[in-house]
Amino acid sequence: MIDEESVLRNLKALRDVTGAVVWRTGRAPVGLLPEPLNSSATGLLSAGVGSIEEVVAMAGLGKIEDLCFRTKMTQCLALRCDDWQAIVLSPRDADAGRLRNAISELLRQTV
Amino acid sequence: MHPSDAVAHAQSALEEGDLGAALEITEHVIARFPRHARARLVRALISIEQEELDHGLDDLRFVTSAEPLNARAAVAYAQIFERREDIDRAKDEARRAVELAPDLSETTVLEDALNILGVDVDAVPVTWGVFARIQLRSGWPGAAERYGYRALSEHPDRIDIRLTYAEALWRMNRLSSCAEQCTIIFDRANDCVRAAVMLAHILAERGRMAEGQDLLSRAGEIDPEYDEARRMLAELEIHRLVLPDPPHIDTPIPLRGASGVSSHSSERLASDGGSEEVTGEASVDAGEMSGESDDVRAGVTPNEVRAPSDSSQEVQDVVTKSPDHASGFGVSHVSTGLAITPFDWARDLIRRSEWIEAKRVLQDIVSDGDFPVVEVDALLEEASDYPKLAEFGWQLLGDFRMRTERPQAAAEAYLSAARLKRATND
Repeated sequence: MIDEESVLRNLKALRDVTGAVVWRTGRAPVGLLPEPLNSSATGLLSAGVGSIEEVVAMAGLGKIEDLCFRTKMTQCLALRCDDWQAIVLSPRDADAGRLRNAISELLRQTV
Repeated sequence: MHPSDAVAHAQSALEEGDLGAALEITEHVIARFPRHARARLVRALISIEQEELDHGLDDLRFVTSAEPLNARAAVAYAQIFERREDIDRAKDEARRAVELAPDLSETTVLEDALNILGVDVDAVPVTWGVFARIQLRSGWPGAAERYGYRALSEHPDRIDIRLTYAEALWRMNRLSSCAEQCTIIFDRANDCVRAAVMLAHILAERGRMAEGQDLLSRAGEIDPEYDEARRMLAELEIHRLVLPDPPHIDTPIPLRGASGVSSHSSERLASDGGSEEVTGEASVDAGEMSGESDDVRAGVTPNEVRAPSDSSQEVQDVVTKSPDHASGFGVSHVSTGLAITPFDWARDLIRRSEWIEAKRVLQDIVSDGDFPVVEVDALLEEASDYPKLAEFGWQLLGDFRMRTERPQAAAEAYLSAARLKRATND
């Protein structure tokens, strides 16, 4: 059985990935995030994405497959694959399409 | 001479065919320590040699209750069933013995078991239970817990598997889950030394020192030298239990020197997994907690055994003595002991300002995942009211809400933790 820590390490090893958070349904999130971020960032990001997911589903739009946002300094990509959910931080100009494929492939292998 | 040395002499005499001497030494040890498991095992082996199978079974029942992982006892069971021509049960016990033999150096146990099975060792399937034990011995309690869980779902009645599973939980510091498993173990094997040691440690960790020490001393009736307890507790960074010095015993007949005791006999007697080198960790998962404890701050070094604290006297008043010390650890006693819930422990620790311990219990409650959501929420919110626990409490509440699939509520809790962190930094 693959645990969150190994998935996290594999995500972190992907090119352009500066930080990652991963969790399974019914488990607490674990994260490896760059230093200046708040120590609650792992929880905040996972709970934030989880909340948006819930809101979108409640609105009748179905289940979010992936979610992407950018700030001035970073790009954040969240993906779900069955029970597994991952959030990956990368530089703002990183190739989001390539990252999405790499993360999806990794999560599919995990499932 | 320690009792175990005398038992080793008895075992040696038995192997050399001197049943009289073996029995005399064994009875001498049992007269002084009626619940000495290893002595009772040798007496069972002597009974089998003398074809007194009922007597042998009586002793073996006690030995397997005290040491469910004892491979030698499983083989002895198999031999009795074989002599009674109950081949199916003989093979079941032999299969169990092969699973339990700590490693392939346990040649005698393995050979005896494989002879009964009539197969070569390669023909014995490797089960989830075996995987669990291997992982536990290799210092991977997380993997042992997962394999143990699988094994247990296939064989919920197997006490040896449940014991391995409980030990994996214990080494992962999931103490409430471990205590629950130990209580189930006591229902079927109420003399189980390993379960008693784990439960004694858990009670002591919860501040119920007197109860823990009492339970440990009753384990000492079965293992007077506290070998098992020493081995298990030595793996912990720190514990509060006090282990008495090993007792001595005189011998009824002149014994040969140490060289007279074959190393083979001590190997056979140790065929219970108790001799395994378990290198697992028992540290608390959360970073802060694994690095620093009240004890460390108080100047107590790791592995140092602390004397009971004065505060333990408080809880001594509520200890209910087992009505019958001669028959097991007294499940009713243990169950009564656990009637105080982890919630009470946590609140009591908070009341006494034992923050590190309180964090461990709170973490344990959340990790368990078996408690009512409303109660856990309430407890964590209470804990977050205390400045010393506030940030940790909100963070843990966030984790708990994520576990229970309430991301919006989790976001609120994490935000509170983040605001506190920012305020502290500012």
